[in-house]
Amino acid sequence: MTKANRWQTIYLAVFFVILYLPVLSVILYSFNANPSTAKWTGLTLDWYRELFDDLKKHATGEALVVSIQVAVLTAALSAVLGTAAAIVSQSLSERMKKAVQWVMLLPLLVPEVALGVSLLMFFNALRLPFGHLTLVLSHSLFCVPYVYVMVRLRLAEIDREVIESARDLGATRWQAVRTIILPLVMPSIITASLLAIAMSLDDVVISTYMSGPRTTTLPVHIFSMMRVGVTPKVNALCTLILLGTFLIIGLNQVVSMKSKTRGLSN
Amino acid sequence: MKRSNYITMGVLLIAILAFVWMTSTKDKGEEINLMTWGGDFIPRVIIDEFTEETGIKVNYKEVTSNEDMQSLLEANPDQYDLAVVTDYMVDILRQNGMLEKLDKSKMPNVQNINPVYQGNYYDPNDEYSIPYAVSTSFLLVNPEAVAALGARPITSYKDLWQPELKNKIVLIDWSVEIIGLVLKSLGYEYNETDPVKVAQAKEKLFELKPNIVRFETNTPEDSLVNGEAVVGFMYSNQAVKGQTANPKLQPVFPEEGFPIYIDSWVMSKQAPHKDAAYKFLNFILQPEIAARIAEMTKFTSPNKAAEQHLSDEFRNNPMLNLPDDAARRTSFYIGVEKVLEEYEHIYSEFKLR
Repeated sequence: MTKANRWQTIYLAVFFVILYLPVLSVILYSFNANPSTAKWTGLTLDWYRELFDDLKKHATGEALVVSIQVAVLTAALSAVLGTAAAIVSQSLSERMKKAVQWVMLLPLLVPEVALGVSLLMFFNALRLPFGHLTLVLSHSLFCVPYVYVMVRLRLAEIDREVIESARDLGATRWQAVRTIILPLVMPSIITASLLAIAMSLDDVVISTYMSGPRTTTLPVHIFSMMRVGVTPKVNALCTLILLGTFLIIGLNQVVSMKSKTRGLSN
Repeated sequence: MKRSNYITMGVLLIAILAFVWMTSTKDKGEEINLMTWGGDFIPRVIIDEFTEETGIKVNYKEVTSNEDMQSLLEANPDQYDLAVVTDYMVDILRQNGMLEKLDKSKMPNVQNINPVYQGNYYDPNDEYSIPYAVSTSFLLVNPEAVAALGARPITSYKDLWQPELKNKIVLIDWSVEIIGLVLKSLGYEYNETDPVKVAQAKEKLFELKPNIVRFETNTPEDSLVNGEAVVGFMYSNQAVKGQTANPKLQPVFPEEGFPIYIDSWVMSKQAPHKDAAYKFLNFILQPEIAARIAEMTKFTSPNKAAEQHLSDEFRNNPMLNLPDDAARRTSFYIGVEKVLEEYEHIYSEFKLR
């Protein structure tokens, strides 16, 4: 190993330790028998048992269900909108493309609180009922850009001649999109949708404003416990969410690997 | 994929959105919408009993801060009936004209409220708010460890400046609270604006620095449990947790006085279900119910009649059941916005030393 190489390894090791140490401590303390993080008094699964009792009762369980519903619907909606926008913007002039890109990225640049409050006022003016609908719409607002960007990147890789020859051979524009473009960009759409699910599951600020009087999402539910005090149950919950996230990432890896091998055989 | 597939997908998408719309608009019977912190700040068990008794459904909107409640209430005053907010937020909402003047004839149990917690600056005539949960900050002390260091027993803030306590104090990490502590030790009030007094407090604050081992807002009690510190200034619920982990730890309500926070019920002026909301308030103001809420949430109950229904363990613990004479020595942080900038400035200078 050269000297530079060794430093690189050390740097990476330190980087990952700092990044993942807090996460590891959450997992560790979810098994701590003592409710205080000051002392380690042995292993226990009590917090998981309490958590599952909680999930059966309405508050936490309901919030989890709401979060999953919203995340899946958000992913579906933003996949459709983002992909459509990316495909349509392909036929625009370079200048227009740049403009569309900017407008698309705008929701990511605006601070979440500002976005939350302005959406609150906007939906209020439209008299939309606050709940699942407003949650899905507002989450899609910050998820569509990711789909758009990822699909755009993939589209740029596609040989334009493939599409042009399809058109030459008599395919309508719609047929070309359906039979050629969509299958080629599908891996990007799936990756972006999984990202959208993760982002939607994560959101606290916008969800606080968008959920209305009858619904609560899981992250808001957890954050709102601060007044009463957080119990190790939350560590258990976070550990499970982490597990779920790893599962999604793993799934995504499998999908992208599959698509790569297919890409090579083509 | 065939064209028909796309049509199916489109129809499906529209159906999903329509379904979502329907589920969020449908109204089911009588209900009330309340909003406050979650984590069973208002125990779900109690809410369920209310629903069982009256048939009124309760929608519990969980939020993370007073400020969130303010924005939501001001944006949609006709969607929320009740909220539990902290003292200073009652004042803000009242002055902004968001609150309904409460009709006490509709909730006779309001007479159970302890007068010690009434008539405060945010609602001088008790027209707009009903106290729900009382909490304080004070000193949690390990008396044995203090004695072992050769220091005097701690009874007031002044005792924190003893040189024997070097590196043995843990404090919650907020400028207004810590400068407030120093102001009290000098015999002044919280949120003092007089520049001479503030300068005096600043000097005194800097003298405290060598004794502080840690600033910690979320789990200050842990420093006492693991022996890193022998005295800490923290919120009452944290002190309770500390004492549970180590029964030797004792609360000290400083002679000079200490801060209090009262979370209170308020009703939106445009509340859509006012009658049902009064029924709910009257329900939770019952002595037995209030006592159970206190036991579950570990906050002091402002309900005087509830005291006889508390377990001995709860009633005899001054951290959980704050004695009236101690409560009289408490004060609120009033007008934080006027001093915040200057205090933050002093505080960051202090922390950098």
